[in-house]
Amino acid sequence: MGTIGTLILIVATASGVALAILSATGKAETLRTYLLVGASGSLLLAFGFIIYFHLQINTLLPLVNPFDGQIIGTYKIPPWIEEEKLLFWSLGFSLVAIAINLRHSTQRMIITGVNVLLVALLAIMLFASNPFHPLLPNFHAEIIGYQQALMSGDPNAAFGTLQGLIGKMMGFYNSTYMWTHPPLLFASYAAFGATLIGSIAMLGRSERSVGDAVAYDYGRFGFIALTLGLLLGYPWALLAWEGQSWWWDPKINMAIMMWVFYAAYLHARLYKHRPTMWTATAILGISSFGVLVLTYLTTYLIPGIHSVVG
Amino acid sequence: MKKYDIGLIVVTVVVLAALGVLALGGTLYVWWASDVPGGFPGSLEYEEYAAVMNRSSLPLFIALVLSLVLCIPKRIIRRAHLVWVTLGIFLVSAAVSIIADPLLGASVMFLTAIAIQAAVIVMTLVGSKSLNFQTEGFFSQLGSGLLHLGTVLFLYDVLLLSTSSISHSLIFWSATFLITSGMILSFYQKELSRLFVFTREVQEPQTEDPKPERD
Repeated sequence: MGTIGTLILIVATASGVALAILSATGKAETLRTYLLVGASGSLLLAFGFIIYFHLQINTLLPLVNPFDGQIIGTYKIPPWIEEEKLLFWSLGFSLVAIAINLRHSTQRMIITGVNVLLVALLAIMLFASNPFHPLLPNFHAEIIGYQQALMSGDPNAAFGTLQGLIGKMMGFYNSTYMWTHPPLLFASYAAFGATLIGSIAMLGRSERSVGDAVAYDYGRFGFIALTLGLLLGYPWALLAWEGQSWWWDPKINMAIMMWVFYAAYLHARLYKHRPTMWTATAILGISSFGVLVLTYLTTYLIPGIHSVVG
Repeated sequence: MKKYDIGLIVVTVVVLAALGVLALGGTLYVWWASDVPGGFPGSLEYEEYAAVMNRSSLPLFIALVLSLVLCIPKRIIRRAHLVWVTLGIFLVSAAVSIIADPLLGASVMFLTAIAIQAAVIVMTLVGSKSLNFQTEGFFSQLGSGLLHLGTVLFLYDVLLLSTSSISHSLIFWSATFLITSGMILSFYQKELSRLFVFTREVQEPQTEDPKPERD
């Protein structure tokens, strides 16, 4: 499955590269549509593989009591954990790209920008965050010891690792919040990609007003999704990290920063026709995306309760 | 009233920006201090860092709450009385805090703000002309009202949670619903207005003969 998944991602990236090049020339509109559908369809197929893989985990890897063989629980893992989240974000952004390509097909700068950003996301996923290579490495590392102990026929050893697995299954993998908090945030990230491109277009000459409309159209949706996503993280944090210092965790700090930046962008836009405010709005739209990227990277760079680095 | 409005917006933006800077500072500090043996999260140093962040952010959160409490009565109360009413709310809250309990004092302030904001929403719904809004349009004003009420409720929930989690669920989900619906109404007011006009036109077809169109 890993090899097929990677091949699908290569097809998606290649389609995206061809699409971005053709967008820049402004030619071959029909071919561009096919390429866009090809890239998005490939991502959808890759996402389908991930869902299938998770269903297999649900069916084949239940947590069983090593003493009596009774099933204690089954994993219901959402398809946006570990490296899969970049696939989910890319899939969301590819839908945004389809909408913008169809609606603003004559705005060459904007559609080129959107398609280049799609390629950037795909390339980063393929070379640095491939969800298929390997598949769920952290989950695998967590469960392998228990599976080995279970197969060795030593119930005491298996029972020792089982307690931690049950806690993480209920509090993290199977949590209801896992189905609301992360997807809302990634939906907002996908929409904010369009805000970035629209804000860049605002600084140009030919497509400034369309750029502002695109930036705001997706920015307002993204802000609602971001706010709701962050709010839904709050009761989850209270449950999952009870008794721990999570409030000033670096990821949460950066998420507050990101929210403040996008709030500032939306407020600045109210005064966009005043002197210098047009440029300030555009710069805020661009820098907010910079904060978004830093927020995403915080998980990998700075230790914390939300991070994958020690 | 306009100067008062702009002043409050500026104060809110400055407080939010300061919170943003504090959050960035905290993140950079954690990055710098992350080579603590045994890991920074969960260490004694982390607890000290969290305590410093709590102390530093407290005045900012108080300022945020105060700006909200100042913002809410202005919709309903005329400017001549606004300062006195706001001062009255603060004095009663301060007196209760000193005499009884700081949490009770804060609750008086929050509950007054919640009651006033709920009244503003009801008045907006019935189309009262005596409300002071910066924005125009029914959906925009209703959205603003819901957003403010949701924000006050959310902050009150954060405050209450430090002592009790009994009412957390009800307050949190109410706040989340109000904030989300308030944002939807505010951001999509034009679309909603168009939809509302369209629906009204479909439901109430013209009874008079349409005027002949001019070429």
